[in-house]
Amino acid sequence: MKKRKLHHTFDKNVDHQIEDLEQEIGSLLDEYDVEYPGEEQIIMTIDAMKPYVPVRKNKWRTVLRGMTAITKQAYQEIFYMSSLFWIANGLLIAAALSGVLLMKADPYAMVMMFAPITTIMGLIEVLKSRNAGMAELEMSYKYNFQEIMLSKMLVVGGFNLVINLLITLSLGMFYQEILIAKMLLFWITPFTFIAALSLLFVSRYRQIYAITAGMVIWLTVSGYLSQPQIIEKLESLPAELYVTASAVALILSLFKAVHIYKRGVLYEVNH
Amino acid sequence: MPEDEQLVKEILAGSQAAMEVLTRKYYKQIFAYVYRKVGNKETAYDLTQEIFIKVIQRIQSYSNKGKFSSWLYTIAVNHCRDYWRSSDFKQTSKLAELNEALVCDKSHVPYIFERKEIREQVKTAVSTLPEHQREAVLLKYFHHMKIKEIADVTETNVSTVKSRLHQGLGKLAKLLKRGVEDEEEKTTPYF
Repeated sequence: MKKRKLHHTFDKNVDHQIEDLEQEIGSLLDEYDVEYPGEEQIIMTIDAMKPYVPVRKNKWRTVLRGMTAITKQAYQEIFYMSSLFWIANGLLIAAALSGVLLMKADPYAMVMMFAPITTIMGLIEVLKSRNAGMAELEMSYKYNFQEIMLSKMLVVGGFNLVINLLITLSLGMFYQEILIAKMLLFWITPFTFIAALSLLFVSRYRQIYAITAGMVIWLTVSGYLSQPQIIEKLESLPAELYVTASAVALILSLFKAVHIYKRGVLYEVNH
Repeated sequence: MPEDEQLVKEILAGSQAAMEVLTRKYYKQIFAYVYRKVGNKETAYDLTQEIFIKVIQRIQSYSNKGKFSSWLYTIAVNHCRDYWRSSDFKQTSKLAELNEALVCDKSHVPYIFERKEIREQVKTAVSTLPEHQREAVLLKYFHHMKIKEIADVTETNVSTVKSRLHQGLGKLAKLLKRGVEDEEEKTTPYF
């Protein structure tokens, strides 16, 4: 009993001495910082590890698991989108509706012109630094960068869908002669096309200024497309052509999304 | 953290994304430990990579027995011990000694480099500690581990860890205080 007590006293003394020593030399030890490897080197390590990841037993189950993770993450991303994104898009609906209702602009041309703008604006959100803020940092402990990026793209795409359906339905209520199917086709085609281009773009370039360039290019193109004679030509094109173009763009988007998910983003920049 | 166990489950199901998340989460911590243990950036990078490959190769043997981070650190500690005994280490340490000698030759260090000089002193002092003492000091001071956790990671008992810490920190205090006094003598102007 006495021996045990002595041992306990000795342990307590050592604990105090350790604490004292730590305090004594702590400020000096703090100077021993570490120069960490760069992102490229970390990616090299991750790539070296990939062959050792256990082989998936069921491919479809893994795909489903990945999609579930992205959808879950997308739900959280809604709350992290900046207020500027929502305000800008609110103004966009107002501009599209007032363009058609007050200025008597062609509804099909208007829908075609505005369809990709939400996506282009959303790219700013997608390209924001992934380490901006604790919330994003916390997420990076649960999801990898590809998952975060694809989930943001899902939010942007989903929001575009809602916003354009709203515009289409609102215009449909005011103009009985409007063909809803035609409106949807005029929206879906540029939207899928721009979505495919966006996925290609975000996997290769991460500069925000390039988005401004993209926006200017699209506004110039849409300015040209909104000319009456061009609209007439576009409207005379067979619906099959729009459907085919949309299908091709959709397949490209899906292919690119899977590619980003599997290979990563910086990987492509470096190779 | 419960997320770690979830990520391990996903890795076992074949998710490379989960592997990437888990690696990124612990990469810097493990690199820092290895770097301070071996004192060389290139070697630390190679060893860190080998550690993570070992982790993924043995991931099936991790069965939520304890914290994932403790399991990871155990692998890191053992891998560094293996390296310490290898011939690779003996070759690299000779080169490091040479570099160290070159650094020490620069006796008149300007004031702005004083902090760098202190860092080098700490680095040298840490490298003079016996392996087990160094492990205990690094895990306690730089990785904020509790003594019980250090004992688990280094596969020893609490009293041994305390003794190693006590001796290790004591040696560092002596070495570093002497170093600082030498530095002060160097920078004190003569009248």
